Amino acid sequence: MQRLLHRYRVILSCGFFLLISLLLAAVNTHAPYHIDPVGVLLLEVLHPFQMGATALSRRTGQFWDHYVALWSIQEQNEELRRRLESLEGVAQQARELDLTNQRLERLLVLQENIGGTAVAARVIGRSTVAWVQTLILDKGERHGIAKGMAVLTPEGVVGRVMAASPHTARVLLISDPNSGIDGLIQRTRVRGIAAGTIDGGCVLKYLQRGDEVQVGDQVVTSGLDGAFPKGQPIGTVARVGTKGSGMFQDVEVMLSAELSKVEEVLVVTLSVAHARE
Amino acid sequence: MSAVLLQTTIFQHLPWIPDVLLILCVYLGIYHRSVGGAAGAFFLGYGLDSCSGVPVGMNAFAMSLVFAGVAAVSHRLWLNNPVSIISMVFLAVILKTGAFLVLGEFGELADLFQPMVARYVMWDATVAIVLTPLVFALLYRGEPFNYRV
Repeated sequence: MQRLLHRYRVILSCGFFLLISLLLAAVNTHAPYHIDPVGVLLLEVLHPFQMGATALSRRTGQFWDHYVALWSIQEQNEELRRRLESLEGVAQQARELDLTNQRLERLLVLQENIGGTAVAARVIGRSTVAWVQTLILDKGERHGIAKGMAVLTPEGVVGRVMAASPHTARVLLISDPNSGIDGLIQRTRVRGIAAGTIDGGCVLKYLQRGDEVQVGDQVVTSGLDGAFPKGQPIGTVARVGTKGSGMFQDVEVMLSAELSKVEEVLVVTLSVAHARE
Repeated sequence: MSAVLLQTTIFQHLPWIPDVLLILCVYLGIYHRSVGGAAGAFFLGYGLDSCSGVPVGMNAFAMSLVFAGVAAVSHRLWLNNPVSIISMVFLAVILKTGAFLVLGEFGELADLFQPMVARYVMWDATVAIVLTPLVFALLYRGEPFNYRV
């Protein structure tokens, strides 16, 4: 018997363990209670080793994430930074184009409203001397611009062409002391001459003491000089006063157009009055 | 115990978890065909049962069956080259898969086991078969006879 057992010990032990495991599986699958004689002890023994192994694998993972994986991310980061800079440039250009488009649309509307013919031009230069208020445009005689023509923006009057060459034109701004544009108070229809001042402002000259004018009144072109269309905004009355015993009132006008920020203008090549002639 | 530790901790971070315990069981069946080997296979499976979510006894039965099958084959055939070793691991995969499917049917756990077994056969067993020569080479360090992969 003993020899038999020794001879077939491997088979018998395999059978024994198979039977035991089958019994355990059967009981633990169907029975409401749980048989695990060694499992708890095994878990307790493995616990510190599992804690250590898990901590080690976590540290390794962190090292990988923070250092090794970052090597490839750095190149990607640089590439993304370059693309971002490029896209920001494109976005900036798009914004600029949008703003230019808006300004040109307003110019187009103005051109349709004034009734005559007009040429749109860009400001390409300004006077370098402080007491001379002029602009230089990118269009000239070849485009139909001549001396004396009115220069407008949708916001208001800019000035008058003082000289023209084949491809450029110089504009004397309304804020220059040498300029003079026929205007009137919109409310009372009192006429005067809008002229510039030495400090770049604007006054409405030759309003008599008895003429009714007050702060806030709109000043517009009269259209009687033949160059400026009638009713184009010049500015708003900012101050009304008198100088001593003079005949005329001292009327300061705040200009409608921001002359320092003008980028595109409309040059009236043929006003409505001349068109009728 | 080290194999159970590796299987339940570090290997969990890998996309496919190699069944190192199965390779160990095959190793026991080929080179430690004894009562100790049978007990070792049983306790390998039992340890895995304790650390996993399957009912206790499932892996123990599967590993014992694998050991018995491999021991029976190695008793008749000479297994001393990588191809035969890998074939034995493949046989072990089939035995383990079959054991789980059969036990699942009897234990009414087929819905739980079948997708698990499908994934096991596809990926984990494939990785185990690929790693068999390496694991056997490591296990043979210090053994009385040489094994060349």
